Amino acid sequence: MANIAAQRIKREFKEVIRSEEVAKCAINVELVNDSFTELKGEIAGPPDTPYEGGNFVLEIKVPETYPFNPPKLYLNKIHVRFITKIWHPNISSVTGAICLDILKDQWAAAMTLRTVLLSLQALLAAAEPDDPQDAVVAKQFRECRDIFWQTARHWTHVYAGGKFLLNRWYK
Amino acid sequence: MEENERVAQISRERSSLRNENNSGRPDDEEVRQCWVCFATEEDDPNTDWVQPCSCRGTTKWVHQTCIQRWVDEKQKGNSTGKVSCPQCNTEYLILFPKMGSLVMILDAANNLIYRVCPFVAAAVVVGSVYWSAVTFGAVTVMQVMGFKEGMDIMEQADPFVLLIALPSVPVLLILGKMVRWEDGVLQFLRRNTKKIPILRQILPSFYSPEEENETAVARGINIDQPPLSDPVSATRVLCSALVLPTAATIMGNLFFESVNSNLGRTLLGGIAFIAIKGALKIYHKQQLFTRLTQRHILDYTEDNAALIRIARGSTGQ
Repeated sequence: MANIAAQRIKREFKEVIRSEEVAKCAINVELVNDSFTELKGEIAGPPDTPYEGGNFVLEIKVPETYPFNPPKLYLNKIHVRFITKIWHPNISSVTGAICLDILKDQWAAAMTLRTVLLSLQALLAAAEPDDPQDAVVAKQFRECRDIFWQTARHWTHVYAGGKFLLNRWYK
Repeated sequence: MEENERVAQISRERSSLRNENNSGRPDDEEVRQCWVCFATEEDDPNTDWVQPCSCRGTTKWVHQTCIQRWVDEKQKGNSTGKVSCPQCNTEYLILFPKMGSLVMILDAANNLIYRVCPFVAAAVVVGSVYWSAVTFGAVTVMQVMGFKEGMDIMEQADPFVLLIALPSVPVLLILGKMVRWEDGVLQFLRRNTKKIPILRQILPSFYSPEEENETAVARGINIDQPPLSDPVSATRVLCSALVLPTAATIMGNLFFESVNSNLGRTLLGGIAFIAIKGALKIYHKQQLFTRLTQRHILDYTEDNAALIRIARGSTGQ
C-alpha cells in the first residue's frame, strides 16, 4: 500500500477512536488486518428512524490511491464476513452497494472515515428516494411509507439486532 | 514582457513566503496539517505549504505536492482543466511557468492536429467508400453494356454526371434488394389458395386443411403463424445486391443468346434470375412453414425417444 494512504488511515483511525461519537457509541471503526487496507465500520441507527436501535456493520476497503479516491463501503455484503442487511432506498438490499455522492464524484480528500460514517448515518435518517440504489425499496418508500417503515424496522430487528425497539413497535 | 515580470514577481513572493513559513510562523495559528496526507508541520518541517482556497480551519493548509497530486486526479490527464476546491468551490490558481514561443507553437499545433484528425479520418473513409462505389458502377456499366459500348457511353457523358450516376449504381442495387417482394407473394398465395381452386391444384403445398387450427382457435388458443420474414442480414443484402449484375450477365449469356443487344440480354437474364431465385425462395419458406406447423411433441416413452434418435441420425443432426 502506498505510504501516503497507510499514513493517513493510521491518523484517521486515531481520530475516530478519540472522537466523541465513539464515546457515544454512534460510530466505531476496527482494524481487520495489519495493513490498514480493510476496516470494519459500525454505525448506530439514528433515533426516530426505523433503524433506531440497530447496529449496522460495514466493510470498508481503502484503495491504494486513497485519499485521492474514496474508500469503498459495503453495508450488507452477504458473502463476506459482515452481515447487516438493511432496507433503505439508497442502499441495495441485495449487494449492499451504497449510493452516496461523496463516495463517488463528490469525494474530497479532506473527508475522513469519521465524516464518511457520519454522512452515512445522516443518509439513514434522510433517504433520497429520487436518486435510488434499490428501485423496489424506493418505490415502496414513495408510495406506501407505512409498509416501508415496517419492513425497514423488521430488517433492523432481524439483521441489525434492533430487538428492544421492535418489541416496542409491536406493542 | 510585462506579464513575464509579473510572473517573476509572483514567484519571488512565493519563495519569500516559503522562507517565512519555514522560519517560524508569522501568524500565531495552530499547527498546520495537510488536508490530503494529514501530516502536520511537525512531522516533516521542510515541505512546501500552500493555502489554495478560502477554506479555514483544518482544511486551510495543504502540501504543495499533495495538492498537485489532487489536481492531477481531478483533471484526469487534461493538464489545462480547471479544478475547484470541493468544499468552498474556489477555483485553484494554477500558475504555469512561462515557456518559449516554440513551446507555444508546438502546443497550438498539437491541439489543432488532435482536433482535425477525426474529421480527416472520416473523410478518408467516406472517400474510399465513394471511390469504391464509382469503380463498381463503372465495372457494372461495362459488364451490362459490353466493354466497348460501355466505354463509349462513359466517354461521351459529362464527367460530373458520371461522378453522381456511377456511385448510385450500387446504392440503387442495394435499395432494390431491400424490397422483399417474395414475402408479399407468399402472403398472397397463403391467403388465396383456399379461395381459388386452380391455385390449389397448381400449388398443393400452400393448401393445408386447417381443421386442427380451427379447433385450437375454438378453445381460445391463439395459433399465430410464425413470423413470415426472417431478420434482414446486412451482409447478405450487400453481397446479393452487388452480385446481381454478374448473375444477370451470366443468365443472359446462357439463356438469351438470340438477343443481339448486350443491354437487352442482360436485362432479360436479370429478370429471369430474380424470378427463379424468388420462386425457389418462396417454395423454401413455405416448406419451412409447413414443417413448423405440422410438428408434434411426443409423449416421453422409450419407443418415442428411440424414434427421435433414429430421425436425428438419418438427417445427420
